[in-house]
Amino acid sequence: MYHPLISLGDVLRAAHALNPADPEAREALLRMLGLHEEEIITPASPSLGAALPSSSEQVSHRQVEPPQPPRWEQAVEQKDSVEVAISAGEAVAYTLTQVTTGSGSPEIPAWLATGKILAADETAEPPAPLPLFSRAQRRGILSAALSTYVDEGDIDLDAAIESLAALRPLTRLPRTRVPTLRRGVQLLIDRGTGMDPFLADQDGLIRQLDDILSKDRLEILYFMECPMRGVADRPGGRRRPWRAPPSAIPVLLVTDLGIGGPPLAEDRATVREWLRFSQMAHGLGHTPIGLVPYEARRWPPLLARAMVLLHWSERTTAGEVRRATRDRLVRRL
Amino acid sequence: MQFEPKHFAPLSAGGIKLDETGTVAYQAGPAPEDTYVYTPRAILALNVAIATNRPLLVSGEPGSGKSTLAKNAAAILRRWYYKETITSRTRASDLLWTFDALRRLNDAITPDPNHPLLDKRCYVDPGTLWWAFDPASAHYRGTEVEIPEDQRPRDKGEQPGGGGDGRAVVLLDEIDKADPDVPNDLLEPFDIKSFTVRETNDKITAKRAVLLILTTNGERELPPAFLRRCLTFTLDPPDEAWFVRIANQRYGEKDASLHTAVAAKVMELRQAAARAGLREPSTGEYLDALQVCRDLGINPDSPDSQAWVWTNIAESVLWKHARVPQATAELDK
Repeated sequence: MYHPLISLGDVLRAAHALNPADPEAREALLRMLGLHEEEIITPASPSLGAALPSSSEQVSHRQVEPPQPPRWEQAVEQKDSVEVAISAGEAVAYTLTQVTTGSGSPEIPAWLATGKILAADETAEPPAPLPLFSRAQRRGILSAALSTYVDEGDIDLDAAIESLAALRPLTRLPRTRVPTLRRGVQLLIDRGTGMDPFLADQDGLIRQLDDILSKDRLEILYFMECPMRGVADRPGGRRRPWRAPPSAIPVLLVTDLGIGGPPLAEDRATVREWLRFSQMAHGLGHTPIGLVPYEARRWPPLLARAMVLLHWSERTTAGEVRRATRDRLVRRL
Repeated sequence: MQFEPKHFAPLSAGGIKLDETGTVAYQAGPAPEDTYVYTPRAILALNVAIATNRPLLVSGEPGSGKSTLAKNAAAILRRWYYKETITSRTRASDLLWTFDALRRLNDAITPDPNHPLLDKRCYVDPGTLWWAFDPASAHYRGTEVEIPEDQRPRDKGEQPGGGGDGRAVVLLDEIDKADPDVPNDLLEPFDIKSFTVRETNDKITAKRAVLLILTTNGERELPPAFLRRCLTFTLDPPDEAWFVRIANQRYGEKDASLHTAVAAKVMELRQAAARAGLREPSTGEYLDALQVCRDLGINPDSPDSQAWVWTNIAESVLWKHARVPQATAELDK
């Protein structure tokens, strides 16, 4: 009964039950399952229809197209060579067969002598960097960092009992506080020179937040070095003074706090500048949360006390973030 | 589109095939409004959802028939039908059960010999999914102990097709209105078709097959983890032929010229709205305008003396925005 993610099994179940007979029906079926036909084509099953069980009666009254040769075979036939071009994103399955000989030692296959050594592809892009938050933890980390609390949980029995024991009438039902992401977040991204090594990480973080919150709950603003110098709707865009969101919406900063960058950079944000920002945010009811790609020992102590700072690292855990944000909540109470 | 609609076949249930494209109309009740027109893709989507036992997420323009699909499908399938409209305050647990702690607290602190404190299961109110999964346990609020007749809740379901099948269709309408946590919290009950009532520790497990249909207006993006477990089906935007087909099916072809005239006007407005970046009048609004025209004897192609009446109908029933020059120009032609 347990249903993991939609998989090829679902396709086969649906196809077995419904016998889609034409490409249009097959395409529609695959799209509903969030799959596309080319993604599951393998040399062994060139098309879904050809792989389906179908009775002879069904075949007789339907126009069944002859199975097309698999794509990799086509490529080989056309090029008449052992070079097989595989375009990006195309999935091709291979079958490996063990070759045995009578002598017990494998012979060198003839094709090896004719094969060409492939030159390194210098145009290929390097792999994307691994995300700074571990894949398993990042949802928990970001949820813990950005959740706000609402009095919509279960009945707070302790509070109710305390009130009743004191013979005070319950004028409103006390409820426990529960975290919610419904308020969204204002995301402030530092595009100063110190954050240059983390540009891809910033983009990845935006995608991760988008997954968790959806676009309408995510306000993204960009700044250089410190939000006090103005924010823009896009990198390099026209800057305007930073305006805080309503106090219930958390403010998340992605910044190096002026720690990184060239040592002699003159436009580096100062601790004083960040403190002014922090004071301004506090005055508007916010405790900014900062994701800093440098470890805690390098954080300016004054800033570490003024804001909730989290180490943006693969070693950070959701528990640490939960503790840090709980402290923030306690401080605000 | 060729396939075998083994699980959901409106034609064999008494539907009317409208044309060679495979479009089928089924009238689930006595009123013309009870008619639903199924495209082959809609029939395929419902078959795939039943074959794979996956939730079906239906999207499309507002007024395109997303919500009415589920009830009509339940009628064809002769299944029980349950509906829950999601709001921003809906919690996942509301769909499973709610516990009336306040009433229990009140009963506990105001002892009345005529009304002794009831078993705590009497304060459990089964939610929509509970009723759909296992109406027998919902009727007894999860307990195996007999509870008084007057303490038993009433089944929230209805039987639009007269029931008989015993299984259920559940509509969770406008899931995109929910807090982002709600779809995530529903993953487990959707997956394993089971949940545990926290207050009583009763484990509720689905005793019958449930077809889950969810609708979204696409106002907010749904969590990817949730989407990956659902089938997706998008209703096509309407065109003039579609409008006329639905109207002819609802009201007969006697007034086909009126249906065509109103449809043409609505298409003009849709184009004007698209140019102005506004929401386009939907199928539902077309049917409203048509109903008004039928009741008042108005034809948009009638002489000038009636033109202003149609203009007002169009503005109040179809346009629903401030007067927009492009639309007005179209109307005043």
